[in-house]
Parts: sequence; C-alpha cells; structure tokens
Amino acid sequence: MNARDEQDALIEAALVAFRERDPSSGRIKAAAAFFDLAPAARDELFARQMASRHLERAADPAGLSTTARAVIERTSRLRQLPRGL
Amino acid sequence: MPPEPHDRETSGGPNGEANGPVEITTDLDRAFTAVREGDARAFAIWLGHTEMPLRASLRSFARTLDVEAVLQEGLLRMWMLAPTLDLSGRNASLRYALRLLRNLALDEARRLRRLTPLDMEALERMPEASVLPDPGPDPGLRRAVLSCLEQLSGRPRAALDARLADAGRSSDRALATALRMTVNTFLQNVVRARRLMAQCLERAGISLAEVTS
Repeated sequence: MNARDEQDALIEAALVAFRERDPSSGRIKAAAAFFDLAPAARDELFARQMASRHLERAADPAGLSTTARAVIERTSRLRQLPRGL
Repeated sequence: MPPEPHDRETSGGPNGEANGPVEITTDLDRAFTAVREGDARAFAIWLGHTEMPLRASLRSFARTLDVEAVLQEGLLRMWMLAPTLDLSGRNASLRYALRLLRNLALDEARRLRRLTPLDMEALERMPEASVLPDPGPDPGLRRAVLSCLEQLSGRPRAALDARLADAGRSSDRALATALRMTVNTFLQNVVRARRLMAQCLERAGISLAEVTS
C-alpha cells in the first residue's frame, strides 16, 4: 500500500458514522483514527464526510444519512427529559 | 425524502382570518413540535432538514475535534431535551441546536487543550453561524447515485454496501469479519468503492465538491 492509500484508509476509518459511547459518561467518543490524522488530513476528513453524507442521503429512500440513522437507533434506547424540568 | 421546509402562515381564525399577530411556521417547526411529544418519525424528518447545515457549522472545529462525534452527541441531546424546550420563532429549534453544538464543541476543545496546544481564543471569537434548513436531496442526484452504486461490483461493492446497510450500528471490525476480510482490506475496499463512485458521478457531470457547496 502506498502512502496515499494508507492515509485514505485512515481517513476512511474515521469517516464512518459508527462511534462508541464512553461507558462512564455515556458520551459519544471520538474515533481513535481521528487522533492519528495530521491537520491537513482532518480537513480532508471533514470534506469527505460532508460529501459522503450528502450521497448517503441521496441514496436513502427516507433521505437520511448513516449519521441520522445511527442517532435514531440510539434514541430508541434513550428517554426524553420530562417537561417542566 | 424529507419534505421541503416551506414557510406557511398560520392565523388564529378558523377560516384563516387574522385575529392577532400572524405566526410563521415551517415544516421544521412542525416536526419539532411533534418531537417534543416523543414522536420518533418526526425526529427523523427534523434530522433530514438539520443534519447537513449543523455539520457544516462545525467546519472551523474540523482540525481540532472529531466533528462526527460532536454532531451525534448534540443531536442526541436535542432529542432528550426536546420536551423541555419551549422555543418560539421561525426555525427556532435549528438555531437552538446550532448554539448547543457550538457550546459542545468549545467544551470539548477546552478539554483537549490539556493534551494539544489549541488557539482557544480564536475558536471562541468565531461568530455563530447562521444557517437555513436543508430542503433535502435533489432527485437528479439520487438517480445518479443509485445508478453509480449499481455499477460497483465485487469486494468494493460488498464493503460499501455493508457500511450503508449497517448505518453506523457496528464497528468496521464487525463488518469486516462478517465479510471475511481483515479490517485493513475492508477499509481499502471502501476507499476503492468511493473512488469508483466519484469517477462515475464525474462522468455523469456531478462534482462532489459542488454537491457539498
């Protein structure tokens, strides 16, 4: 694999919508691959994520990206806060 | 595909006559009203109109933060907080989400400051973005994307299909294992599929840079 292929694979590892949750705080964790990317590669990641999510929405019958679907999946296990809180 | 967030005027009288200040509402506002009642389908509509402008608003944090993680955290908080949010004004929920995400991103950047040198002042000085709801994907783009996906074959297609069908539920390790690939091979095949998709779309006269602008 050449250097460009290696960088593209690393960007791809961070591009996916899958994110783990921190077991103690419950917060969504950053992708480990993100921290291995140089600043310019992080710009490239952002641009590719924008493009990919646009294309995913275009291909999806409900017009939703993989990010939106991942969030919806998680909301099915999350209770909303009651009114007046 | 989410409906376009048209503006509609609503007035107090049963026949549309004005009996007070005319309130302007959008499809986005109506969706958020239902989200406040716990309507998951309305939340999907709300996401369809807000995800892309909210993601774009985080561009200035792209070198500092994993925007995907911040965005998902913010969207989950919008779902959880919705019943407690008594918002007024056109597209108020989008404006609220914009501020919530910016604050989340600044908090996360402050936390990471312990690990890497960051210009926090520059991040904090950046003006809040002003955004409009997304009308949804263009039907011409949809036809082109589906046609290009159809033209993919072999392992690149299998890898990209797995990513799309899974929609962020599983790790790449799990997807690769299911396809009997190593993680590296899986990633290389997704990269290859994306390059082929970009070439196919270019041939159809669609530039990815233009799609996102």
